[in-house]
Amino acid sequence: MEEIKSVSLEMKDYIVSSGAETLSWCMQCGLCTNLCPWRLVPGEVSEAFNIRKMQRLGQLGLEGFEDEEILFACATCGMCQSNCPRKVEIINNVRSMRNTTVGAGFLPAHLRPIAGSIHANGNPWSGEKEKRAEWQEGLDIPAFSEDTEYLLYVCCTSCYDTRSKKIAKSIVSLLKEAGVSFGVLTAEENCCGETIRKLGDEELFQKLAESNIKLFNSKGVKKIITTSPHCLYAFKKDYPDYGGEYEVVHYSEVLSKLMKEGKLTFKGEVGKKVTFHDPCYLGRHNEVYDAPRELIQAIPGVEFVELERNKSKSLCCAGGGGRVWAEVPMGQRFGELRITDAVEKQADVLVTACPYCILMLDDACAGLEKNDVLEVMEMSELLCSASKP
Amino acid sequence: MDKKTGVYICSGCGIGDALDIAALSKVATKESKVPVCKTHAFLCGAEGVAQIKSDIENEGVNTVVIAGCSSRVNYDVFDFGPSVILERANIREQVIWCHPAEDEDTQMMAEDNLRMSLAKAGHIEIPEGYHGENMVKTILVVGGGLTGITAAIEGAKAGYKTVLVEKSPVLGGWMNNLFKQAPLKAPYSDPEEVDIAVRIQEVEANPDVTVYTSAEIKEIAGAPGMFDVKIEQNGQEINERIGSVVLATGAVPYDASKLEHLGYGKYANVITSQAFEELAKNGKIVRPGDGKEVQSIAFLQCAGSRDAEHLPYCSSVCCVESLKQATYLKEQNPEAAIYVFHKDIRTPGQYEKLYKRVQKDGAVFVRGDVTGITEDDDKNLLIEAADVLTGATIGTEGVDLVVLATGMVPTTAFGESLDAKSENEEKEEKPQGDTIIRSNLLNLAYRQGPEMPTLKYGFSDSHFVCFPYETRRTGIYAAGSVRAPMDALSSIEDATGAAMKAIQCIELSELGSAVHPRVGDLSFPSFAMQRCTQCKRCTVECPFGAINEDDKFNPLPNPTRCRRCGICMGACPERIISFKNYSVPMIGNMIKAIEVPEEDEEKPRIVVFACENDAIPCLDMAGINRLSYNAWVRVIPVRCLGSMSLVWIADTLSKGIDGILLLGCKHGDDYQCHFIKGSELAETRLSKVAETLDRLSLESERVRMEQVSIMDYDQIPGILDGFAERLEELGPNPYKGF
Amino acid sequence: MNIIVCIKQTFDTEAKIVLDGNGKIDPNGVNLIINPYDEYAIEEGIRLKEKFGGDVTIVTMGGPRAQEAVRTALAMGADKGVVVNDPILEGTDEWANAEILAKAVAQLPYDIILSGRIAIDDGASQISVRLAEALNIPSVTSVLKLEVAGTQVTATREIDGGTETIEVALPAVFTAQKGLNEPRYPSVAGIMKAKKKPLKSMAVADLGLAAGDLASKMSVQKYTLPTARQAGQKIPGDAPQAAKELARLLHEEAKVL
Repeated sequence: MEEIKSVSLEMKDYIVSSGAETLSWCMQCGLCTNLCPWRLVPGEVSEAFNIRKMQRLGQLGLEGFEDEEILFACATCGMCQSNCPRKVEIINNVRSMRNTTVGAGFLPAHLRPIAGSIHANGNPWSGEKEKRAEWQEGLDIPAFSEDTEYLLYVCCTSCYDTRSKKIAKSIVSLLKEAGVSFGVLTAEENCCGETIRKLGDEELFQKLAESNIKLFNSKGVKKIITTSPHCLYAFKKDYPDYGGEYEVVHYSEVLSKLMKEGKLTFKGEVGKKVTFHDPCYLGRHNEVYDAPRELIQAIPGVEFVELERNKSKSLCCAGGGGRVWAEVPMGQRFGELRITDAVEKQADVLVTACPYCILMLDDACAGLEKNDVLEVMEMSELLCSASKP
Repeated sequence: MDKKTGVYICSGCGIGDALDIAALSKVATKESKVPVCKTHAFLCGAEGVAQIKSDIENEGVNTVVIAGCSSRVNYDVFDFGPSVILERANIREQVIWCHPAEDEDTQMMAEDNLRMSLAKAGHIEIPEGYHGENMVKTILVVGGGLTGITAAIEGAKAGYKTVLVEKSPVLGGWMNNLFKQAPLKAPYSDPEEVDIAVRIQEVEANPDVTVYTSAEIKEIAGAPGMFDVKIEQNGQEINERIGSVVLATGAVPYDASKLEHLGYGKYANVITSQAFEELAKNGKIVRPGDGKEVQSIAFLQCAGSRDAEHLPYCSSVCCVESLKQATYLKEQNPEAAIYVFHKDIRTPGQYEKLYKRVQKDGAVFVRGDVTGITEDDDKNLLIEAADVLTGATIGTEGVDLVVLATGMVPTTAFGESLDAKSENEEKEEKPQGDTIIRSNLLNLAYRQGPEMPTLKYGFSDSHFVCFPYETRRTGIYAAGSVRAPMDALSSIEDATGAAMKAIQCIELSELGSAVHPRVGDLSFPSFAMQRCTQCKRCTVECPFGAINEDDKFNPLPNPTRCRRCGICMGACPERIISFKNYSVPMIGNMIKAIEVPEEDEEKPRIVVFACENDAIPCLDMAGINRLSYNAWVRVIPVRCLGSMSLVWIADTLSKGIDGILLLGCKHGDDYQCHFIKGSELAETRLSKVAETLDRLSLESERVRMEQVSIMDYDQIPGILDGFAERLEELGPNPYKGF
Repeated sequence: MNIIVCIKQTFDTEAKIVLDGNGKIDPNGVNLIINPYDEYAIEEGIRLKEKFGGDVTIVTMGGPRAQEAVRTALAMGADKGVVVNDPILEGTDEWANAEILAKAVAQLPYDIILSGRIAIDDGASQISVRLAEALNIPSVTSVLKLEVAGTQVTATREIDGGTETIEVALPAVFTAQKGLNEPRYPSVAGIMKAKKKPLKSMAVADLGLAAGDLASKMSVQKYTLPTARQAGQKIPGDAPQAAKELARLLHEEAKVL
């Protein structure tokens, strides 16, 4: 006799009231599950994680969606929701489902130190708060003031991770070269909170948002340039919920515009075959596809090739949604498939414009032992290498 | 008629390169002694046509035989008016396009085709249309619901008088019971006010429509254009003379008392969707029994539908109706919990927006079979169902009310069933009898039975594959949910279509023309009654009930009911039936016109009787696609394989022809035969022939039947060549040369 | 079986400790969690209930946010909660805390009492044993495995370099060591049910204690932060050279050899 599972409308209402307003829109067509990058890799998580089924369990208030493996598997890449025929906000639903447990104090063990670090230090990397602006030493970066047009907001990763700090530095150098009026408030900032919100900790996100908004408003910030597409998303789409309204752009958008106006030129040659990996948060989530391509293709000598899965079909690096801190065995990370994609196109350089993507792709490239044939570069680093002859 | 024949051979489209035109002309001039025989390189062009017209005007040519393309093309170009006999010999699609050029056998084929056409032209007489006495153009609409009202209004708007007969005291039918109707206009997500009252007003105010309420049809006698209808209203009898009939008596909900397994009749709070609609119409939605306001509800879709034990079919509207009813509850109580248990959600077209709206309102949709319903102490219902989408069996908390969305059953399905049987007992293989149910709707005075034949679910038959608006009774058209389950929008469209068909029938009948599918055909069967043996084969086998009987079993034909298929002609063993332009001797002489080579020439001959509706087009298509097959084939077009007279088989075989192929439309459940039964009847008759052939020491395999549709043209070479191969194995017809 | 689990809400393991103007530990803006060792105790308690039936009651002492910790434990599967919330707790020492806890526990029926072996904030590791003494029942600490049969318990506890097995009769107190079990991740249904489970809040006075009864036997003189770690020294050269230099440094500068 098969066990009968009880439908709980109360549970469903609880999930919906945590932010999953579009949960009932889903008609269970299954397109999402088939587009999900988890289908491309083998392993336990891939077999357990079925986004359609997860939404269904939520719709009926049935237990099972909150299994750690399932609930925290989603990388929030957006492939599902950008194709959903009902325009269900699937990522919001996942976030709300996570909130039902995280809000009650339960985070998976591997994520507790991350949340703890954000609480204590204002960044997820256990870096000391006082050292947030250390990367700026010797660079002569102006502080943001009333006369500055843009606030340059640097992702926590690029403030603390050694490899990632280079990205912050090269972006600063490009902005200066293009004559952008920008300033920083790094030392007083906290993490933008994008990822912790996706992980379901709404309370912590609120704390971060409120503190950042208070800081920005007190300094008169109106426009923000971000180094990371995740921060772009947070300021543009999440912060208005807490009263933060700013004009937010990714650095590639600013530089591309100025390049077209002639204010930024590339004099040096880069005689390489270059391909571009669209970060989920720059591409699908914020629809910035052209700016990075315009910049790369403006470099003399570059032979630009497109990856098969590009632009809105770009394959996630598996870093979003908190997955950058997950332990995943080699062979089960979809980021590795990206390296394979680039190698297949015989590219010399795989360029991307997101610090999480850099972490994941660097790791995958080393893991697949392709460092001798493929170089992973952040776009600002590529552009910097071409700014001088 | 004194015939002066002109033969015109077109040498365009490659004909001139493939054939010896001179030799072909000799068939006309030397063999048949035709007075006029001309060739032209582009006969369908202005010059070519002008030439023929000039001959008609100036040379007195009154019988034109054109050897060229298929009669299915250029019929508008080669139109010489009703007083000229026109015959088309197909030497393009069926000869040169699928056989090698400059080849002896191809040449023989073309020549035989011309011979057959000349033989046929020799028999054709120009038909004069049948004109009945006192023919009228009034339309009778039976049933005064949305469909009937619409048909009446549309008929009247087009300028035709209409009589509308309704059984109940008021017009409006099912729509009168609704609280709101499903959305008919943008944004398609909100139910609308019911507008039937406006339509009723319109029809009652129309001076061209006569409305009889509390009235039923006692009898319909006669034929299209000349129906005599007896209407009974409140005990009084009224007579109307009618041109054509629209049946719009609709459908009724399925009997829910059969759904005990879903709790109906067992639990107080399980009701039908009709009952729910009533609750909503009466004001607050409360439970029957204890009057509690409904806070939670479950709609069970496909209740007794898509179920082999109940109604095997989908009733098309129940999903939309339940979604509409869900909005009623949400309007009354925004916090109400709504479940919809379904097999599928069928919301075609714009109804999808209603579905999306109900989803957004928070309803829970469960796809899967309901496995159990139980009642708790508060008389709430607990439902268990398989949830396909999680692969588990789920159970709900108690809901206040369960609504069973039942399907619809047409009014034609109620009554005693009469199977029209063939009364020729000696035959074992009988064609499928029509199922006629005494539903007391039309009460036709037809030998075949008092109502229209029904399809397997009790719906009045339409030729659904090819002609959904047609029925098996000429001049009587079914529309609305009596024809198929449908929503209000489709019913309105259906009614308009039926009205149009009714008008078409009236107008064509007045001209003496066939209505469908041989539109424009003025011929009709005539009976040489002095040789009739009252065997009743014609009256039984006519698929359209066109032939009545008197009390001595003499056939009484009704020309305006007739579809001119010739099935009666093929059925008659005495061959007393014929048309002015289509008869048994005509085909017989076409067969005799074929030249059959001697046995030692090793050129077999196959005659293909091909029906004009699917087989001829299929052969033409094979030609258009340049598929090649053997050149032994000689094609004789017939109106319907059902018009096959068995004497043609004897004629063909005694001429020494080696094989006979009957090529016709598909019959069976998804039949495509344009005359419903013809193809099937031919097959039945063939089985009787087998015995005769065997007695004559002729292999019964020499006669074969194949079913094709126009899309099967790629199979033609296989069919024809395969038959030729088999005939080669059997050897030549021993009667050759006799 | 009546199971009691005593828990403590502590600072997050990642939290940065700062001292306020008065030289006291500044609790502002610090993330609070259930003491991780107590999680093992809660899990064990729930497992015992699943095996033997009965009730799991969570008892804790703390400030206004302590309730969150109890709700989390209830979501895991405990049945009831008791919170002693009183301003007096800001100044009590381990002895006074144990007295208060004992009074709270004594009001409840108990067959077995569980808690974590140490709290990660102050690292005192005293409360549970003091509680047992106050209740006059046995206690076994640092338990890695617990086997209950009727009123007899066989506990395996961790000692330096190995384990020892102790048999004891209930009622008794057991403190959990890491490795006792893997605490469960609660279901959302559990979280929702937890909101409705009974949670009693009490002040010290409700336990029949007055401030005078709880004069601390120990007072804190001063809090200082640990000295900052100095940067490491990199010793250059190849292995034999570097080893020689290292030995010299350890002997002369670090003075450990």
